[in-house]
Order: sequence, then C-alpha cells, then structure tokens
Amino acid sequence: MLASRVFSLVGRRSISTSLCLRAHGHGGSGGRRGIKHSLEGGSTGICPGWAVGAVPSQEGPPELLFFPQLSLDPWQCPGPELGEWEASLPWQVYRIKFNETYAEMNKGTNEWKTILGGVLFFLGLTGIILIWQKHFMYAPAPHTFSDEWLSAQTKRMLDMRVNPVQGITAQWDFDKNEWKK
Amino acid sequence: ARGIQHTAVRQAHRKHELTFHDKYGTMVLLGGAAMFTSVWGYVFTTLKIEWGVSPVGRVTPSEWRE
Repeated sequence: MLASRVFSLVGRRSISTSLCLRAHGHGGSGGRRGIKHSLEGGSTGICPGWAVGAVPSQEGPPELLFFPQLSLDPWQCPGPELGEWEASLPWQVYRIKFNETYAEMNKGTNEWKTILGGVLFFLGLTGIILIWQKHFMYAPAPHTFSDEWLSAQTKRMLDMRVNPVQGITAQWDFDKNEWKK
Repeated sequence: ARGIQHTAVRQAHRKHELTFHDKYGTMVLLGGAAMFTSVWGYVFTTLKIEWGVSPVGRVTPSEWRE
C-alpha cells in the first residue's frame, strides 16, 4: 500500500522535473525559477537533485546542479520555496513513512519550567506549614535560648574545655580571645 | 550546519500546537520561585523559630561565674 502511494507520486512529477533540470545554465533562464549566481565568496558546491524535487526516473539519476561558489543564503539552492517544501515529492514520500523528522522527534520542550515551578510551589507550601506550626502550636522557646544565656553557656563550655580536639574548644583561639578563622 | 538552519526555519513555521508548558511554563516557574522565596525568606528572617544554630563564629562568650 505504501509502495503504490510512492509510485503514484513519482508518476505525476517525473515530467515537470526533467523540464526544470534542462533549464539550468548561465543566467538562470527557464525552469520553475532562475538560478541565483550572485554569490559572495565561499567554497564551491553542488545542489542535489532532490532539492529541486527531482527523483530517479526512467532517464536515470537526476543531474546535479553545480555552483562555482556558494553564498551564505540558505535558500540559494534553487528548490521549492519555503512553503512548498512540505508539498514537494521527497517530503511527501518521507511523511508517508515517518510522522516526524529527527529534529521534530528530538526537539526539546518547556516541560522543565512547569516541573520546577510546581516543585518550588509545593516547597513553599511546606514553609507555610512551618509558619502555621510556629504560630498556633509551638510554645515560647525556653529561656536557655536567650542571647545572654547562650553567651554565658558558651563561655562555660570553653572554660571547661569541652571537645578540645575537633569540637567547640578546638574552634576557639584562647590567645586572641576570638573564634578561629 | 545548513541543514540545521533549514530545519530551524522550517520548524519555526510549523509551530501550530502550543502545549501547556509553552503557554504557561514561564509563569508557573516564576510564580513558584516567588512563592518559595517569599515564604522561606519570612521563615528564616522574621519568624522567630529556634533553629539551634552553632555558637561557633556567632556567639560572643560572656562571663558566667557569679
């Protein structure tokens, strides 16, 4: 079924493509459109036959159009205009078999934005839970957490030489009377 | 490189199905980030929760003997 669809497409197009090919030459006369020879620097190149909608037919493989120099214009290759690409024979054949091109298939999405935004939102909800707890549930902090108590407590720990090897006393510089940098 | 250019131009013309992420993704991301920073900024600065942070580098020891 697929093969017969391909052959019907080829039959319709084979006449017009040979006319187009014979028209290439100097000055760009004839054919569906002229060949642009206005070029700025660059390397030489060829325009493959499928770019102008040519397919192998009974006459043999399509002729290659040769340019002495390529320009930076991506549409210099005289093929169908942008809108006509989707209707051209190679693309019709491709779309029969494949739903998407590799580029379409591999294309990235914006899904990460929704995901990250949702994650951050629910983390924010967690913070709201904390606020609720502090407001409605927690008792006041014990007096031993006040700044005066903490500083006195810290000095007492240092005087006792608590954890002198790797702990709190190890972080205190007794000569300069300050925390080690 | 020209093939990629071709494809990119072609794709730009065929984008007729916008997904939810295309339409609202940026808004969701920014809204979530705003919600997150505002809530946790409040929790860590204004709300007086005792986190039990280490005194090292923070507390200046003061005399405790009476």
